[in-house]
Amino acid sequence: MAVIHHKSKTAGQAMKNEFINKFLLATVILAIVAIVVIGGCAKQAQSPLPLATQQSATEPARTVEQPVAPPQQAQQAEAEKAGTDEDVYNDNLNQSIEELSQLE
Amino acid sequence: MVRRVKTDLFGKIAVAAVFIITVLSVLSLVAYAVSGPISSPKKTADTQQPAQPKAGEVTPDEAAKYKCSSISTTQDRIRCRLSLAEENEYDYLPEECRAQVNQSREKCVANYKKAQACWTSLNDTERFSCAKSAFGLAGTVASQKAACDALTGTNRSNCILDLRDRVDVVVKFRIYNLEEKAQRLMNKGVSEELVVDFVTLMEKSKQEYNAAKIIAEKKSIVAQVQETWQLFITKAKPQVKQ
Repeated sequence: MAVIHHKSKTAGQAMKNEFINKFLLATVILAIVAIVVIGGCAKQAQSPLPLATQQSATEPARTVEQPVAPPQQAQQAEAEKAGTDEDVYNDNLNQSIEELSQLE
Repeated sequence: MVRRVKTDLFGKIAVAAVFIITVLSVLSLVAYAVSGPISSPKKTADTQQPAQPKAGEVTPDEAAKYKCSSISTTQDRIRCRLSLAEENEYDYLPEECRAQVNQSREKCVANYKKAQACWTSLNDTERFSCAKSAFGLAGTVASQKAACDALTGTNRSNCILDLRDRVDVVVKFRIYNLEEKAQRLMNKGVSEELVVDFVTLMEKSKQEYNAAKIIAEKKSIVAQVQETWQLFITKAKPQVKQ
């Protein structure tokens, strides 16, 4: 009986050890998975809307651009002096149509 | 025996519990990874730069920078622009650029700036020659097209696309030239309303030109601009003070 009892005790201990091993293995796997997934989440969280951020970086460049400067009145007067009436009333857009035709 | 069975059962339950917890943890973490943290939208809004302007709208910065830009209608903005004092006359966002967004708007403004020096030229011929040079369109379009055709594959297609872009800005420069001529006629006695209406139509034409997909459509828009100019001149000539 004593031997049987001893065997039973040994078997119980072995099962316990087996359980602890499985538990540890599961914990390690869980930890690895958690680290990988949390790492991925953190990486994603660090770069929200990357396109918007990149565009924002270019924002100052857009606003510092100076717009067109049309002719100043003095220059206009000079141009009118040198130009003919034909220049004033002529659209001179035939060149545009010609150039577009050359692209075809 | 009963004790062994109990221990065995306990072990199985414990392993199952660990498995279930692991699966649930992984699933919740995957859900977190996909949808992000609950507070993330607020965090994003806090850290985001000011919103990008929509087509036809300006940012608060642009509204502060450009004269007349906070006015809601195109016609009123143009009226405001025409009435600007000489020293502020160029501090406005061109309507054509306002209709675009982001990089396209930047490029549009840069193009206007590129041809800025050409307005000192004395007549159309000199001004157009200056603009063509500023946009890299020296020589004829046909010769540049032939140079593109000599290339192959993507080099050829990129060359042609680039050439089309340059032709387009020169065509629009000539339309803009008509707006300037109209404005000069206003100084000679032509009514502001007539000039405002004409400039508004020209701005609309430039936007239609930008939206045009084929060359035939672009040519048709230029032909319409010619007709509009003729109508404007017919009405304006009697108003010009000798």
